[in-house]
Amino acid sequence: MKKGEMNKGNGMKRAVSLGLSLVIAAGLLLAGCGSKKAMNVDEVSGRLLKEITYQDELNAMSLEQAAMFLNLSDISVKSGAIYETSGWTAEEIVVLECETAADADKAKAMLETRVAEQITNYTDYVPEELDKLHAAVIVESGNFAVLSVSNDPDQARSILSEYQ
Amino acid sequence: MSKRNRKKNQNQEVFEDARMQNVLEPIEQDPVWRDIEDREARQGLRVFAVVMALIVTLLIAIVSGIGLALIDLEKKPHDLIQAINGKDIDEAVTAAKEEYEAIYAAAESKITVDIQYDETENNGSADANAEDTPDGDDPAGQEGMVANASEEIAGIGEVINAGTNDIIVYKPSDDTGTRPTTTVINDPDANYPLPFSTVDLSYFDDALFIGDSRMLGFGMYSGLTNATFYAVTSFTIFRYETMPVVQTPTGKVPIFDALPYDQFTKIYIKVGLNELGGSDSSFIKVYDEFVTRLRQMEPRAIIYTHAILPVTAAKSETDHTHSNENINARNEALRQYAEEHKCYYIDIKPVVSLPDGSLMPEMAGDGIHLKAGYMELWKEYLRTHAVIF
Repeated sequence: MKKGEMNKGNGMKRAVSLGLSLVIAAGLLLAGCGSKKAMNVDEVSGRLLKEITYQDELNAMSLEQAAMFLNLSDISVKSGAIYETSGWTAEEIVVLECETAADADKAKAMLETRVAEQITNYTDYVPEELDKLHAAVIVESGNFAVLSVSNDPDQARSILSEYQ
Repeated sequence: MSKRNRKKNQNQEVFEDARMQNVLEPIEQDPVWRDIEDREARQGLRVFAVVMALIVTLLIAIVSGIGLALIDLEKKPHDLIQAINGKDIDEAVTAAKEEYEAIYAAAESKITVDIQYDETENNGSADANAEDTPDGDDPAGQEGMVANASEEIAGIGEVINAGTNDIIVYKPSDDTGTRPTTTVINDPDANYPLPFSTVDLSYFDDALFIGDSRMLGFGMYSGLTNATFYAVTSFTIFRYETMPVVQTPTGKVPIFDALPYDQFTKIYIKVGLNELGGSDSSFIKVYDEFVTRLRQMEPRAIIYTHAILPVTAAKSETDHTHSNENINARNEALRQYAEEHKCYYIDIKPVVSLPDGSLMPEMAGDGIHLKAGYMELWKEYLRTHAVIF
């Protein structure tokens, strides 16, 4: 191989290496920009409460009180935030941090059952609430399960999409 | 066919027969062929013998096994025939079932009661274990029985006249000889009507609240975490038998599918708003049925007939079904029922309404459902209007 050709070869290698490095760096940067936040009961429930406009007043209640209408009997819950209305509307927020992913699976199923029951309850009672219930947002992420019933399911989804 | 051709065919047949004979006869006469035939026959015989031997052995084994089993169980062939017919099994199943039912009933019926015996001249015995049979006008069998002892009474099989007479009589399902055949306890409605008193919140430890969405709201926001709530949005008494209300580990079930026996000493029933639109008489008929069943399950419970809360004036004017006029009429029917059936009518209107009787507008966003912050008023009213017996 001639010297000129060797130099050309080396130049090519350097160009390729530089290009690859730039691509990798760009990829890392982009990954950094799109990284999701870790889910947190208080933060998520707080944002769902404040960043969505509700028809009725939502009030916090304990997990113990919520056992009246949420079947938490075989779900190990680490912590939870629950907001309910006076009963006039079907709006509610339930954010549960479970002990394990398996518990989160059960919690998601339980929340789906909850929405189904509410649809039954409100069908003849306050049929205007059915749109909210049919558009209920239920999300499971890691050990977390979240339910949001409101007039603005898109906003709920947008908030929840920021969390992993 | 011509004569010639017929002859030809016949000759042909004869010739063929002869030829076959010439072929077969030698084969049949051949000793090798005969040996083969014998061998096959012998093999067939051997196979047949083996199969028969296996079948006979199997039969002997089965019969022996049955025989040994009968001996082991000390049964006779007659019993086997009965078992085959199913009678033995049926009797065993029935006997086991009765045994378990008796054990279960005895365990479930254990109850600590206060038996009051009157230490008067007329009282023949102050012995809590006296065997008395209810008769005539005095179902207890002893007039004015008063005692101050508590004891465990087991084997309670029947509740008679709960809630309607002065005395409740328990009749145990079995007579063991050491327990009384009837036991008298205080009927919670015996001295009806008792005055309202002020109690502390522990009064609600064994209280059951039944009702609709407003009662559910009270359960969620009143802070009465020691009480039990059977309430659900849209509850109507017309569907009390089938409507899923009570959350259990296996899901929501109707009230009487969840209600345990003799756990509560006070039951608050708040229904009637979701039933407006129908007649008062049909409502009261089902209400009475409901209360009767509750009393059968909770014989020591005082029944509170909780009035329907009013709605705001604005709601009343726009909703002709859920108007205060209709609510007042329904409440009057409930009040009369309570009086006739020894229930305690309770109405929190004095603390939640304006002078015209309508709900204060700031208390309900939709004119009907009390906001969380006002549940304290409701709780306080119940705490200061409680019946002690």
